[in-house]
Amino acid sequence: MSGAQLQSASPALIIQGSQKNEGSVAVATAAESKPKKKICCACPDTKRLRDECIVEHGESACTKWIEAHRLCLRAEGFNV
Amino acid sequence: MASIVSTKANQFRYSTRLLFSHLLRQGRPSTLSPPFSSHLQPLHHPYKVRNQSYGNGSLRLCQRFLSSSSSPPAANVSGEKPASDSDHSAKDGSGQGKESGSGGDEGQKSDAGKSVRGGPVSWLSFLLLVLTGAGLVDYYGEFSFLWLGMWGIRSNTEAVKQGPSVGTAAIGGFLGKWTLLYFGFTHCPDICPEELQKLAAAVDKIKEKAGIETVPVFISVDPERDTVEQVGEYVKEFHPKLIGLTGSPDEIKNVARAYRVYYMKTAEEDSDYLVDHSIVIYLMSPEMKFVKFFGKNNDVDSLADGVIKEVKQYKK
Repeated sequence: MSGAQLQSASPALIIQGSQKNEGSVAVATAAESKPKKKICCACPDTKRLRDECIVEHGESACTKWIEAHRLCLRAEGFNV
Repeated sequence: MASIVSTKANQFRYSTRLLFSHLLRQGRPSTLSPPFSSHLQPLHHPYKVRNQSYGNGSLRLCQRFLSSSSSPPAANVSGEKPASDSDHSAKDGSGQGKESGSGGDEGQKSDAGKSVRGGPVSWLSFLLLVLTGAGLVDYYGEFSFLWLGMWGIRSNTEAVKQGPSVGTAAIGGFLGKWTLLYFGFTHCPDICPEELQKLAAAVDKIKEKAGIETVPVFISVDPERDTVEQVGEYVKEFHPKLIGLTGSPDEIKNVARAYRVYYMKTAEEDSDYLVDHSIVIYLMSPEMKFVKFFGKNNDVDSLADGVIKEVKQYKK
């Protein structure tokens, strides 16, 4: 678990550094306001439930799980 | 890693612009190698249409894509439904029982079989198209024609109707291979690289353990940014056998729907958006049928062992 956290932290630093180096003010502002956690790793529980439901039943039958995961992402600070 | 990807993205964005303008001026892909152009003459037709009127051409091509994809595999699907259904139920039942021992999950698997059958879009039809494209790439050993490969999909579909030999040759070159599919995007910060590394390691481990050849395939869910060059360079970093595919937004939408992969762009203002997408690896049989999916929780060993088990069961 700690190893995973370290791995997730390192790319975040690299990405933010890269964005700042490329440097317009807008980009820097966007980078600062973005959540630290990656969207792919946020809300793992609702994400797994959504993914497995869609594989087995199709997207139209899984709107409940899709919305649950979306709400969780918004709570984490993502703009979805 | 991320900064390198970002730098490469800028470079390929520039080179893509040059390439595209060059193609527009010339009117045909001059970079095509002689064997490719000589063997796949129908390829020129879709390209010209696209050049003449991009917007309308795209719409017409998509319509043709949908209509052509539905009719040829229909006979196969109807003929093989009973067998595939029983196989699907048996495998899912045994696999799920061993993994979790839950009756409820087994019930869900049964429902999955039914819903797959009754889906509005046949898995087989789109799978056939995608693997045809992959077969083209594999046959010519080229990554730089991935986008053309997507066009080749439509050409080959038409060729199957008009000249079976051409279509059969292209498809035949790919049939008989087990395939592992993953949907991601090249700007993915970390989960896609992890999953692709897992996939690549599993491919090697499967061969080492059981002598079974599997073909890893990466399909992009970010058509706006993932060009042919971008995807080609990206997949090289993971495994020499990894085949990368991309396409137009409509094509990607159809493929993702057919494979039941969810993806959605974040509502960022600039081009630095993220794509939220399902994290699954699909195992497809040599007859291009869905066999099993593996989630993020599987590590290299469980993925490799799961594939080996399914392959051995399938042959019995």
